[in-house]
Amino acid sequence: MNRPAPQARTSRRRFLQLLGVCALGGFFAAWLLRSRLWNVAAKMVAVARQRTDPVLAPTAPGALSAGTLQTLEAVTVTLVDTPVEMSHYVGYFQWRAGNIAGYRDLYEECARGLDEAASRAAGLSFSRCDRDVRLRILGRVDLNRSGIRTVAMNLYDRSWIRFEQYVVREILALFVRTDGWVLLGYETWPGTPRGLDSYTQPPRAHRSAA
Amino acid sequence: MSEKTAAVVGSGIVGTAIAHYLVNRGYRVDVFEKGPEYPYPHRQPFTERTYYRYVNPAYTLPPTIRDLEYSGDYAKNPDDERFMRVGGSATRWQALTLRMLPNDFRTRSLYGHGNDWPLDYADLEPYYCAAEGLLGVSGTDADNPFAPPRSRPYPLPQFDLSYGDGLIAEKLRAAGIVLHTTPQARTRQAYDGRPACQNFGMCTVCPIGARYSPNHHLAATIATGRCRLHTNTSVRRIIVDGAGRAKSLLCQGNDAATPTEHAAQVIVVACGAIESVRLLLLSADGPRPEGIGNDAGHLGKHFVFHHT
Repeated sequence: MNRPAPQARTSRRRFLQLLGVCALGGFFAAWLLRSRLWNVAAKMVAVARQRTDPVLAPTAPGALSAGTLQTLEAVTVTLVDTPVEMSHYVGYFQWRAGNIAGYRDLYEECARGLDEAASRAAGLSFSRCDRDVRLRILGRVDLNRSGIRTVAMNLYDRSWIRFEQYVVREILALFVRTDGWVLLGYETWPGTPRGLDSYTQPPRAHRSAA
Repeated sequence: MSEKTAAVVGSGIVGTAIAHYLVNRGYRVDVFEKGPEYPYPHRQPFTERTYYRYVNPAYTLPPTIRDLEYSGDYAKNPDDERFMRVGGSATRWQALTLRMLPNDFRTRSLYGHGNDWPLDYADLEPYYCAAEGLLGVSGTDADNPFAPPRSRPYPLPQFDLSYGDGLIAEKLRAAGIVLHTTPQARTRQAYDGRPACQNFGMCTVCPIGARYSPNHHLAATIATGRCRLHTNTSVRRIIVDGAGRAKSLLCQGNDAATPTEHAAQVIVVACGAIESVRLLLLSADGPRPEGIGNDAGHLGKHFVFHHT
């Protein structure tokens, strides 16, 4: 009884089957890569990514309108709620609008959206509303929104996500680097010439306490 | 008598210092820089960074050498430390200028770790003094019990500890720990045409040139009329003569279609630890199939950044 083991015949057949499947798969993949179908799929992925990413469109920089600037100032004082040197923020908005692609259109779009919301709430523009109305409108700001909620919101209210990311976050970051220092008791903030004497002295607030 | 000529690859802190030195000794020098011009004093990038929180891509590492691969346990990405532009990586640094200690040169003998250097601290000490003079270092060793010996005082007095540092130093002193001032290439007083520091609060990018930037000496060297700066120009290889001596550079403008050869009596490779090695490897030829200066096969290996 020296018959060959059935396992060996099965294994060979199996190998040939796998080889055939691999060849077909390779042929299909090559066809897909060369076909228009692949291009269509790649475009769909690109569109989906664009819809879920709050990146700014690279539109031309330019000067801001006075109304938009007023709205941005109103957003700043509402968010920060402490006396600030507004010229930093105005200069910041104007420079970014005038020098970085996408910012002017972003600011104009955000200002329009806020004015519309203010008009519905109080019949006034955002900058002319009282603080309570402005706070209600900005109450939607959520800088700790989960990733999945951000993606979902990106699909139906992308301008708000952009507003949070490029306006609210940047105003707060600018505050931390400038007026926040003064609030802590420093005479000036990093970036302004402070001379070589005062930095060895206690902050003003500590001196007056002493 | 023919004019002495030199070609320097790289306009960073080393290339600029050598160009400055050679011009003062009668050479006519050409400096080649792959990156773009960088405004000096660095008021524009300072303003962009400080006031508008904007990092201009024109002042960062070009994408052609991004994504460097590295191995070992080095914790920092070289991408964060290298800048390819006129003035090199020292256009953006904190300018801390600590000397190595005598023991650092003998770690194998003393601690059984690494390798001993073929020279010692005493050999380098005069050059430390020269470099401190060039950069305008402010400092003192009076509060530093670990300071290595020096043959010349610092060119400028020290920057005192800040109020906060002073508080910490006092507490640490009680526990037997020393917190001392740090020498820095920043002008405590006006020095060599640079203004005194006004304490803008951040040294990484200085708007007035109080913190040393190679652009200071580069501008002075170019002003002599004996130095030319070639920006946006890549050096593709070094050409060596039959005697094994570098004789010219093969250069190509970043937008040019073809390279040109630039001959000089002295060739200086000073384009950073990564790019210098790359250029030497790219310069392989018949007698040097593994690159220039690579007889032992160690070129490009055992690489570490400065560790201060």
